[in-house]
Amino acid sequence: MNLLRFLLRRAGFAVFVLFVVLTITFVLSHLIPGNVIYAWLGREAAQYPAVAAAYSAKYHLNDPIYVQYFYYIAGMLQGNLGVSPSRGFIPVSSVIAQTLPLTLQIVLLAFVICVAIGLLLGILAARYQNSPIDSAIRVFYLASYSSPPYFVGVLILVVTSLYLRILPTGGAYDPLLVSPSPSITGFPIFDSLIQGNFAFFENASVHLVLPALTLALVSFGVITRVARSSLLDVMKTNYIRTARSKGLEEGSVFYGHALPNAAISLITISSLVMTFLLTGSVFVEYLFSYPGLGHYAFTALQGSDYPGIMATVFVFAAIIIITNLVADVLYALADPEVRLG
Amino acid sequence: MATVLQVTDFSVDYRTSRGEVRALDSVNLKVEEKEFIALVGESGCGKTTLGLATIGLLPPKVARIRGGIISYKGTDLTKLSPNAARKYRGSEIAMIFQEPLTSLNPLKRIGEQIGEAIVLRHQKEDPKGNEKIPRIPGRTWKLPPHVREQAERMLALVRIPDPDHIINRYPFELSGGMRQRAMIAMALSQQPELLIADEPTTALDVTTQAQVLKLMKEIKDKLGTTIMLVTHDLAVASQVADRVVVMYAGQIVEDAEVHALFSSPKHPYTQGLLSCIPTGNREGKQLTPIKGTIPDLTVRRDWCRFHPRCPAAMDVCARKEPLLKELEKDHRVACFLYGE
Amino acid sequence: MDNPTPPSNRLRVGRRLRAAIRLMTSNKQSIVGLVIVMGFLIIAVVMEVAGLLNLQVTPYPANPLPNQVSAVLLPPSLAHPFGTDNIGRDVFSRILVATPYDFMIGFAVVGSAVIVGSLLGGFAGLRGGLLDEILMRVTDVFFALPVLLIAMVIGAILGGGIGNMSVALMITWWPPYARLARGESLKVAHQNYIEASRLSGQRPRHILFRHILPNISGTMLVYATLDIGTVILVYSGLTYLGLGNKPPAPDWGQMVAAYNSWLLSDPWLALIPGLIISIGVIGFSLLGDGIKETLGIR
Repeated sequence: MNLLRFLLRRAGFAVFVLFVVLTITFVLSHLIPGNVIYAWLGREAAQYPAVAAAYSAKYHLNDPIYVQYFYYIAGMLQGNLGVSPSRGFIPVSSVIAQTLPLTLQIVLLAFVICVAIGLLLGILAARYQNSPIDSAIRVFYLASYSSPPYFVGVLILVVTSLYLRILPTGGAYDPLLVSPSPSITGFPIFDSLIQGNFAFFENASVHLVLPALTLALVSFGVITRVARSSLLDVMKTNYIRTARSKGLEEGSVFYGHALPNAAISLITISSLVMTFLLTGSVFVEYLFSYPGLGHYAFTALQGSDYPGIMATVFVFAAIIIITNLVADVLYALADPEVRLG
Repeated sequence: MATVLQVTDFSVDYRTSRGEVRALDSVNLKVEEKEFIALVGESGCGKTTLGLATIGLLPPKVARIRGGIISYKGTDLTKLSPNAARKYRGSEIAMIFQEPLTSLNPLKRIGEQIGEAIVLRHQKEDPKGNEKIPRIPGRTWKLPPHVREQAERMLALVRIPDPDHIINRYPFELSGGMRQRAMIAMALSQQPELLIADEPTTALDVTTQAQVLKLMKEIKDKLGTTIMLVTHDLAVASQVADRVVVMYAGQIVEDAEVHALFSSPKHPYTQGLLSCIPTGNREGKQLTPIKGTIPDLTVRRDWCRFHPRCPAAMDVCARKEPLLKELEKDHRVACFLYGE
Repeated sequence: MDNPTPPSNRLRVGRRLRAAIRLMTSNKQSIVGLVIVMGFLIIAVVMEVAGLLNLQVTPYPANPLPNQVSAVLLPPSLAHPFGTDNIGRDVFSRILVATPYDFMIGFAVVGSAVIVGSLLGGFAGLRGGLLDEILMRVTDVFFALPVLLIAMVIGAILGGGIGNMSVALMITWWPPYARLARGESLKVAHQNYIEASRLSGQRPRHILFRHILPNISGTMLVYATLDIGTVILVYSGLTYLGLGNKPPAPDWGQMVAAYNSWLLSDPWLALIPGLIISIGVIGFSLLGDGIKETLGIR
């Protein structure tokens, strides 16, 4: 079946790109000035030669390059990512296990907000093309994709904290007020909800809002623009004319025929939006002191924590690659020519 | 026989980057019930515009009605509000278009698209019933059994083989000829009185073309639908039409019953068109194309549009505009050769 | 049948330049964008020249010595339009000094991307075959990679600074242009006049420049203009992360990060550089969209 072949091909490609990313980090780890062991233990390894020697043996760092490559790939895929100097030398993989769910919480919430706002404005702009509404929306999405996430974040922080004094300004929750539930899914928000810890759920949710909102505000612009132009293009097609010739009212034409067809082009954009959101999280989490993966990437960068940096980039890249694959699958399901052709 | 369509002094302008183009200039036309009439002419002569104007699908920002009346069974369609005009579309006047692939929604199955038309008809017949077309974007509509059955019947009517199979297919899975038949089926689902066909066979190969034309003739005979065929091909018109209306540069120049037109064409343009058609019995003789090109329609003219290219042009042709006059029974011409 | 006559697309620089200027002033949007861009450009050029000549043209030194500083944390005023920071440096001057780097990097990266991309894509489309396949796979991989993150890692490992970051960005920025050039080149390669050209012994480079590039120059201009804004955005992000010029040399993004501690007490410090970045990017967005509208490109 063609669909299966298509999906296998895309999955194979995704795996290939993952290997490319790993190869890049591998090459880079060898370009670290000093010793390649820094890629696993950080610069601090220079002060602990015995430990460094032991790790060198463990990670096969004294073997020929191709052997190293093999063990590198194998290690990374098993979660062997070294230890993180900026977090007290605990294994990088456990840092990631702690921080990744938090980032995903923000990113998923931001994605939902972003798509909602983006679609809504895009539809409005298309429906009222060239009217003052369209122009106003244009200003919004222009500002959206032209502003750096940290600028919007700063703006929001300043406005809410100084002038509105509403939402809290830091962290994932207030540790003095609430505490999280034991981990089941790994996502604190869901864990607390499942176990009835509503105080934590409420507190943590409130802390989610600002970072997610910031991310959403810098990302919705591209969705609005694509939705609008896609809708306008579709409205000019012959099949819309045919739909009208049947006597369908404009509402049915727009929502029943135009919107579904335009939505398909949005699927491809969605994976792009996820890329924006993930890279944006590095800035936004730092700004809001939200202890997620992006924040870790930022502090790792500041502290020359090579294991941390490379691991976070690898994880981000992996998520982006998976998102692209999911988008490919959705597109294949949505477009009958791909599905059946 | 009752008059289905009466076009009186109808004019349409298009706004283009070069200025306002008069696409239709004071056109007069009458279409009787169950007639098969062909609007024939070169690209840009206004025939498609007339078709679009009748069904009310002129591009709103670009086209402007400048005067005149299109009367359908006594109602002036041009004066109706958009919502009122919409009620005629599909149920009274239907249209099929030139490119069946782009004219069908690529993401909806054939059955869904025909089903929509069927449900629209049911809604009209029984306004209190609660038949609805689902508005959820993207979800495939599972047709209720009676709608599905009627859709299959429509497909059978247009002689599509395996209708129960085709119902579930998407437009890209069908051949050009089948797509056009599907469009015809869709257009007929609401049992319209008038079917406008805009170059339905131009994108098809000759064999399929012949089949579709034959189908259209059958529809007229069996269902009693009035058909207005728009085409640039006189040969096509000769195969199916009862009456042929020749248009040039936004005006009607000759309007006659098909045999009369072909046996004794009166207007020099019609005569020119006929001598362009390759037929079997002109061995050795050259095809004589008509010299020149169509005029620039942005410039308003008060003389005969055709006279620069006309082999029989006279002085008066450059000074006055000829009006459409009835020469013989049911044979109208706009030409000074037949009096002023 | 097609006549083997090529469209007359001569690559005359003067005429194209005038055409480009006409394009950029063709509608209201693009004029506003052009004004913004020209404003930044003039400042960048002036500051660069001043830097080379070791002149100080800013009202206050951007990297003042301890005895040259003003009072700390002054809010915006006539004397200090953007206020002063925690060390007493005039923020306005710092922003001016950072302009040649933060603004011009857009041109450098996109410029190289256009050149490299056009050549690679154009040839690949013309030649077809293995070269084309390889190019497609390579660009596919690039499209799947997160550019900012890769540049981040490169910066972290090899050190930051505008030189390293420029190279890192240039390496990753060319694929969309290659795709564009390849697409057009494929379309054109099979037309009859190209065959005629080839048969008469013309070299591929000639075909490339005379026929392919002029056809895509419009689309490329639009895309490149919008892209320059994106580069500025990305580079500011990198400087925010600390990968820009070494302090005390100012970079817009870096300033936003550095002034983070005074966010609630002296918000202008962090807000203004961010605003400057946004305005710069908006300028390119307006200009690009304006040209797009005039040319009627999608």
